[in-house]
Amino acid sequence: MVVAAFSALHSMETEEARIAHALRRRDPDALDALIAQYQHRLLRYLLHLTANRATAEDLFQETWMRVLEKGHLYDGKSRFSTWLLTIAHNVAIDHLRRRIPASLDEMRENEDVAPFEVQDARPSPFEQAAAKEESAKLEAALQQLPAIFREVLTLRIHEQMKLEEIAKLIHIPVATVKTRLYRGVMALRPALKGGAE
Amino acid sequence: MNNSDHERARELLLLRDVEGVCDSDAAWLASHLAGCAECSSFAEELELTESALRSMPVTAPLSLVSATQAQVRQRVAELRDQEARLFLIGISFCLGLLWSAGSAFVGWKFSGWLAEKIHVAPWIVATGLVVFWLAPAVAIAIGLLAYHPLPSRSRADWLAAHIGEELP
Repeated sequence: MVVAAFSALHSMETEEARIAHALRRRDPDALDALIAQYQHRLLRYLLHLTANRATAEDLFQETWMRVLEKGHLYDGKSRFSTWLLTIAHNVAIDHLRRRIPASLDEMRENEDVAPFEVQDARPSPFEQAAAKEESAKLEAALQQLPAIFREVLTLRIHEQMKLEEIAKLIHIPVATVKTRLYRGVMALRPALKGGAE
Repeated sequence: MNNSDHERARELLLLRDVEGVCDSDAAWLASHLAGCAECSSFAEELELTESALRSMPVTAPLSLVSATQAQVRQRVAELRDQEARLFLIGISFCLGLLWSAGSAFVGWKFSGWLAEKIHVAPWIVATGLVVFWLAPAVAIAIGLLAYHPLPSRSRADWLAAHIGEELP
């Protein structure tokens, strides 16, 4: 058991070190592989952060450009996914600062297209419509939820990040992360209760 | 049951899935949830939130991924090109520096020899050499300081006036 855990840890270290090495060399093949590997997780994080698909897609590209530029700063000691999401967070903040001098709370845009709309092909249009209907309330509630809450919810639920990791990524105290998680869940309550009934 | 019990319960609920809680905390939480409607409601909402968010798959479109990969590859090529150019500029700068130092030394020796030959005070020839050495750089610096680039609109007007064509 201990050997297996050590082996897993060692392989992760090797993997992260390999990524760090590839980023320092600006290896285009390795970058291609990383973009493919983290595509869904990164876009999901940005979507939850911005609640706007077009903006999230722009920031997706910008994040990878930033990864390329700042790749030499990644030391391979921490998880690459955490470093990538930190870059994405900073890119999103910069994007917001360029638009208006405001906080992350205001990162919400009115748009006709549902930002969390699933883009992949589903078995049938009926199933897709049904799924859309079921999640419509939740999507609306998520869009109404301030970005600071959406962000911690997605980092915790999708990325399974520890509270300390989230705090470090967003540069806020752990107590604030807990408060945001709690408030985020509470804010989604009406939509969830409605969906559950 | 006081407020700190509720806070502890909520904190344990938040920690349960990722960080995990020890057996004694888990037992305490279970007994608290059994007797607290508010916290058990929060536990239920937390679970609902988790399952609802997980049920919303987000897929990156293939076009976005391939466009990003192409963009990154292009930028890699640009950066490599820049690096190669910077390397050449660095080499040129070093060679220029060496050449300047060498030629300055030779010039200085030559000025000393010349002063001796034409029976002039060495400082006069040395001053002449320094002026000759610095004159081009000073002229370029003055030229650059005197140069005021036209704003883009004025440049367009100037071009329109001289070429006879309105620019966008």
